[in-house]
Amino acid sequence: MPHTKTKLSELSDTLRQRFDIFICSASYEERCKSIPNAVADGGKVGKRLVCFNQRSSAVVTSNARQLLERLGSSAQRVPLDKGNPLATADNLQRALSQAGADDGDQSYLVDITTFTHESLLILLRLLQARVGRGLVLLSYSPADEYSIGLPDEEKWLSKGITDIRSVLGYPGTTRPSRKSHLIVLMGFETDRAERLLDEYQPHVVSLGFGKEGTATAAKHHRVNQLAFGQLANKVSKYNEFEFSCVDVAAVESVITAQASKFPECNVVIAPMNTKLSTVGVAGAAFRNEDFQLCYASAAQYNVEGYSRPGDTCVLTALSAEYWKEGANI
Amino acid sequence: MSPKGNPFSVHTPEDITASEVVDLFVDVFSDFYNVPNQGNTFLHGPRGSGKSMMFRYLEPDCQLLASKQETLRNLPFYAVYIPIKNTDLKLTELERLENKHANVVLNEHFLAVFIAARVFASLRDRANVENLSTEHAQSFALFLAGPLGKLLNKAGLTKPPRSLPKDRKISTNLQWCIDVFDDLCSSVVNYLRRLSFRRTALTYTGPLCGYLDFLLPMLKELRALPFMPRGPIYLLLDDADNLNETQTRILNSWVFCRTSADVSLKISTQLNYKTFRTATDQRIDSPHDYTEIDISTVYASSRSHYYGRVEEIVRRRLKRHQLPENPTEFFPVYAKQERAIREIEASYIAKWRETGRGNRPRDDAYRYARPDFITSLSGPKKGSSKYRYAGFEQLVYLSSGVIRYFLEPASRMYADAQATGDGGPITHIDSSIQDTVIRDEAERFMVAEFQKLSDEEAEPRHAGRFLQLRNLLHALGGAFHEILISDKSERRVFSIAFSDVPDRDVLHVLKLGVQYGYLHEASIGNKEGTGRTRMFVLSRRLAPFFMLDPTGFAGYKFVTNSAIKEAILRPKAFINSISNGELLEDPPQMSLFEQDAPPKSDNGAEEA
Repeated sequence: MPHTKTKLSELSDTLRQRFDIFICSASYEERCKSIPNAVADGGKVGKRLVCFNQRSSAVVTSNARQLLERLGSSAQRVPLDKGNPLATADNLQRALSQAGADDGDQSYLVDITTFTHESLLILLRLLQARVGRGLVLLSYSPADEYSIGLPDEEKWLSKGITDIRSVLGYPGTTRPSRKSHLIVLMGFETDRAERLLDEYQPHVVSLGFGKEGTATAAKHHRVNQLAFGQLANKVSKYNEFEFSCVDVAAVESVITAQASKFPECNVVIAPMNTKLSTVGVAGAAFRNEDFQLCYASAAQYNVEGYSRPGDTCVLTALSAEYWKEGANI
Repeated sequence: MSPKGNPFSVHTPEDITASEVVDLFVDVFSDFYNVPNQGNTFLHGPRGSGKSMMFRYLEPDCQLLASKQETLRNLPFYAVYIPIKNTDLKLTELERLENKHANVVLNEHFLAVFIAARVFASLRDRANVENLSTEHAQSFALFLAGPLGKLLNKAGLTKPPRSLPKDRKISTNLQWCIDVFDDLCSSVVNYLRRLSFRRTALTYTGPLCGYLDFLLPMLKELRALPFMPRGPIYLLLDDADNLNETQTRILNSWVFCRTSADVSLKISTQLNYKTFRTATDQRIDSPHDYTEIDISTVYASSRSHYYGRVEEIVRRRLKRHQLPENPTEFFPVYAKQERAIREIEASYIAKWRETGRGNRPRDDAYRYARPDFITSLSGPKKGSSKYRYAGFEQLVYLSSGVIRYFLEPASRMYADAQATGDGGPITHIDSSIQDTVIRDEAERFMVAEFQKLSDEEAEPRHAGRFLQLRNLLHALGGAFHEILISDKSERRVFSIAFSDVPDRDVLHVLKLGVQYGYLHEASIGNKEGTGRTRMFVLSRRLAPFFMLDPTGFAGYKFVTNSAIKEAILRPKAFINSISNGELLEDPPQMSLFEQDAPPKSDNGAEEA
């Protein structure tokens, strides 16, 4: 699945076709507006769905309102609920149907930048059931800086965990007689990953670390490396692996390979790195029903200084292969 | 050969071999006698308090080894360990069934087949059944073809997905059972998978296994096999807090059935069990339906027992690593400090006849020497030297009744001693290393961990509670320090008891403290002597943070609800009032140096 990087200012021109449905998500991050702003004019997108977490701060609601205004009167608001994945799924499903997604030939441009990992995974599952011959192009706008202004070792994006749950649509296959294998794709959030390990107490732990040169920026790689080191110090025994932070197909293949090293285990995967790597994890789960995906919902986000928008955008086209169901490993 | 590595490192008991468990496990069942005995039991305790280790020890491989028995038949019970991991059974898809009749039925089936799979996996992995006689293997084969087949059929599995094995080998037959129940679990998940994005009902056509109609009769039949123990089967459900509410209610319904002569349910929780109501909303009660144990309350209340347990645990770990076995020598006191305290003790003993307050010369020495020494470090010399939290006895007190809080710092101390040593074997941990680690731990507990908990509270109204709890802990810790360095007759204080009734807000803050291990709850005779009142004990893990003396007997003070409100809202003003001798009252009946009847915790143990 090739991905291309482009300037946001050139995004509209870069898009070679018109997309029937554009989906984006408002958040407290300023960069939630980057891609919608770039495609609002120019006639490259048809129906527009603006998702937003209805139980978030006033900033999110305000940004959602701005996005709706910017994307024009036909833009539709899609309330998501970060505490209730069923409501999120139902509202997304309803909005997709209203936008005509049940007709399998629609094409999609999805701005995955500021979806939560859980909402993104649910959206992908819903699209999997609807995508036919139409193209699905993912767009992602990397931040110029995360946790603005803090030194690398103090950077944080979220704190605490309110709940750990399986992601709707990815329940895995519970075989009680088997041992458990937890695969964590580490991001910046050591605390959340540590809590996850503490809660699961898996028999086998695999800690994934973003491969050098694949992060959306080299400086993000350094922060990720620090977080990985912090967690690795606290875990007595783990298996280490590397994954690409941007190549969806490569993530899928590395996750599948990591899981196959312990074939007699139930597999639980926690995608906590980039959104593109989360898309790769979803692909792995599409073809391996046995993989359960889990999500640790954060108690608090760095609302004030989560990120500073960048001026680029990464585009990834998802091929028809990506959506295919597969045999279990 | 001795095992390599850190003797104090903590592993998940599930992953430890039977021989290691038997080597390391210290029999604590005289403190928790209900656990190995027939009957339903709830075992509450924070993570690391030894629940899983207890359960692991009850498993047949450990029991065979510990009792030097060759055959299962001679064991008093058959215990199946069933860890409940976070998202094993609590699948998000199940929320689709909420408020629908199928909710209870399907959750019960899911729970029943999950447990059944674990039962047969236990027989495969933990029961040493490979060497069973042909006759016994035959009996198991007949169990499959007969009772189990009939029960599965009755549950709706008219045609098992796998045909019965042809040979009579027990391993083949056990694997068949495991596969059948693993498959049944997978079928539930597959049904739920199809339900993920449906807003309308989806017919379930699979089998349904309940407790009374399937799991219980199956376990009774299994129990009756000639190689099984004559006693009951114990289902050890570890971390039952991880069940969803419906599953919790279903489990409570099983407890309510009181079938413990055949199947006893041993349920451990991390103090976060969702409800004690059944699926039909009836309340299960102790002692009618179950007995209940709170590990930290037992050990916070009975320190002499706890000390003995930790001593034995440490001795075994040191022995296993071929290190000097004496815990007090391995974790030595700070000799210079102890000499100074002994000198103060001697002076108290010498002047007892003239100015002594206690009944015996050693009473004053015991009660005042260490507080005096700590006080001497709080004066003008403050900063030039400090009290060292070192020595095995202090470390045991500082772990506040939870073994993990001894082992984890000890593990760090050992690693630090290795890092700063000359590469030779570690024969003891220097008192300065002990002190540094233990102070770090106290600081982490009170600052970083508290912040983390506070951050995790998503509800803004609860975030305020954490602030109030922080205030309360600072107020109590500060007040207890003031009392320690005062000239009061009772200076070691770690507890407060209410002389009136705490209101809902105050209780909420105190309960939050209990939930996260900053406080322990007990009860004590009220001021009037007409009944009992609530008591809250500050965790001794916080002693270094507030510069308190964690050792020995500690007293308590009576407080009013309004005084605790003051502590919650204005901790500094509260501490100032304590310095002025206000707000806290001595227990009126307590003659400080007489052996009063000690306070009782809820379970009747001694409060110290």
